[in-house]
Amino acid sequence: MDENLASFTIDEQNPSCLHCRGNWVGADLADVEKHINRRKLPNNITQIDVSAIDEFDTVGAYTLMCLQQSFARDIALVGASDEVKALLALVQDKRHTYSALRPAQEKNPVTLLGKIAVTRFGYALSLLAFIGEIWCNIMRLFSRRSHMPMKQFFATIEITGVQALPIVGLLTFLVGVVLSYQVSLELNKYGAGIFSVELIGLAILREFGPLIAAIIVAGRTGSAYTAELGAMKINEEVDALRTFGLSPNEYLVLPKLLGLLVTFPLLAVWADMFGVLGGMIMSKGMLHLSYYEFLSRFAKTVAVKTYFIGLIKTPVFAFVIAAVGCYRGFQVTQGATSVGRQTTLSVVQAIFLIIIIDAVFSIIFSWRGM
Amino acid sequence: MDCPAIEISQLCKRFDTNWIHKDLSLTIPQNQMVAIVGGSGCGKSTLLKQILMLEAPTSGSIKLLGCDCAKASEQALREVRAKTGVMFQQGALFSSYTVLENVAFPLKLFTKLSRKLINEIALFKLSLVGLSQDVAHKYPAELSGGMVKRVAIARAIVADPKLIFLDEPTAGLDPESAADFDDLLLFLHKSLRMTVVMVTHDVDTLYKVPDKIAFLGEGRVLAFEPLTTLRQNPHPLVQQYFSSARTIRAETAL
Ligand SMILES: Nc1ncnc2c1ncn2[C@@H]1O[C@H](COP(=O)(O)OP(=O)(O)O)[C@@H](O)[C@H]1O
Ligand SMILES: [Mg+2]
Repeated sequence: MDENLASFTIDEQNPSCLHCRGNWVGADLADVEKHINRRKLPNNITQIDVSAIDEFDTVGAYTLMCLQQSFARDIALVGASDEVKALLALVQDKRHTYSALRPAQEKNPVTLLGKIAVTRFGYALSLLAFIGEIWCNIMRLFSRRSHMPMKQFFATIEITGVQALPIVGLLTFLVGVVLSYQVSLELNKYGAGIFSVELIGLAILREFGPLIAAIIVAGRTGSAYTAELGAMKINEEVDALRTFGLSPNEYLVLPKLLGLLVTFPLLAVWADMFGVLGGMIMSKGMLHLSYYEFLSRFAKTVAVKTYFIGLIKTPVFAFVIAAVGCYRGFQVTQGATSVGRQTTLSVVQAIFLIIIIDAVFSIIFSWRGM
Repeated sequence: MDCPAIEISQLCKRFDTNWIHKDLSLTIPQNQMVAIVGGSGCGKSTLLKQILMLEAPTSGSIKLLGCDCAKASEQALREVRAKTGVMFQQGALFSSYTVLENVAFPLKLFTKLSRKLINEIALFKLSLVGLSQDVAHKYPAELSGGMVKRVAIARAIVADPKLIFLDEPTAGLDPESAADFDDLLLFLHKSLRMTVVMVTHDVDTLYKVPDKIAFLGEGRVLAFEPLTTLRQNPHPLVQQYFSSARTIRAETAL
């Protein structure tokens, strides 16, 4: 292959003639192109001899044309076969210069900032509009003017609820174990190990159970909603639904949202159970507190109120996860990258909102002295 | 290189218990335009996938440009791939790249040319398939169906392949665009001297474009001949295929 590499040399007898030889095809032309671009060619060239070119394709033709035009005057081609001539003519006929058409890019930072602000504001508005539409649909559902596909609703319950049980249970169990370990380690120093029961109970029931469950569900279900709706949008399935007179919002979003509203509070209860179980098992190891002692102290010191304060947040979390997930899914515009970007945004924003809402709840509760 | 462009011998392929190809042999010489036809579900797409090394044959061998796909080294396969271009039925353009980046993609992959030259060649190929410069910076989602097909074929031919595969190139196009596309294929074939293999159901295309037609049925190639002789072929599947009203209409229109 090597001796057939594309190249050009100056004729030794006739210094005004350039000889091209080898295979002038795509993959082999990089050196030739560099050579041309270096513009070290003598000025007295008047003709190019192409009779020694073996294979020739359009990339070769393009390069040959560049070579020919790198001199400031007309250069004659000699020894061109019909094939070379035909391809050269084709290239010359249809050529375009690249530099001419790059779209102008905005450079002024103030304009850029303004544009970003306007798009962000647009996002916020459209999210509000989306949530409004969801509420309208829920209202219509209760006034029996629309109906939801029950099959999807129950499928959502199975996928987001039943199938999430093992992972939610395992992770909150481990959080309970870790929490109990740290708490009893410290409290034991003061001989106050028994108080770890209240601490674990409060922390798990009020905060960690619902919060951990929300984070897992945001990563598991919110992302799935976004990817599913996004792919449906790219496939024009969403448009197909519209042509049947169905609102995608009603047909696709409602079952997902209502399904999650049913399953998420239950998942939080499940998380509470396993968190406390983890704490209980660890307490036995660390503090030699028997299960009976743990549970009876738990019942005496942890008020039922705590449990309900934890649970009252869960429908809000579920709504946020489902709404953000679906909204992001509908924001997918084109192609696979867009699905990836929106899925990332969906999870990040859902978790962000959940933590903010959790903080807001804490402030409200402390303000009401709960 | 005088070896045939494609040499398939005794190819067998099955999915579970379902035999798609049984002892299929087909040799396509270089510089020909060949259409693969056959009833729906007879395994045309599966055959194409095996030729493109996307699906492994159950048994038998496929040689592309003299290189046995099953036995060749990575390096040899890479060379073969650089010499083949594929246009998928849905275009399969990369949705996150602009039209120009899509078309320039194979050149960036297979050559070490400068970015400027690559872009210019990509633009040249775009105008070769009849697209204006305005589309170069659009994204695939912003194109019409016909434009997507044109961009797809521009991407398939950009690195001057010796061999190009087209899966239903004119499906889903309006009759005028389809006719334009047929002309485009003929023009590209003539000016770039490629072997063209296409799967098509479009009777108008069959009349106008290919030199020879490979008729698939019963898991093998029932006939491999020009359309005029294929029409006289007595095999019942062939007769059935060409006896439909649409074919007759296309014939009388000719
Ligand atoms: N991945 C696969 N798994 C199982 N069966 C398949 C697969 N791909 C194709 N088939 C079967 O192979 C047969 C031929 O399919 P295909 O090649 O797509 O037909 P066509 O000629 O219409 O393009 C069909 O019956 C199809 O069901
Ligand atoms: Mg098919």
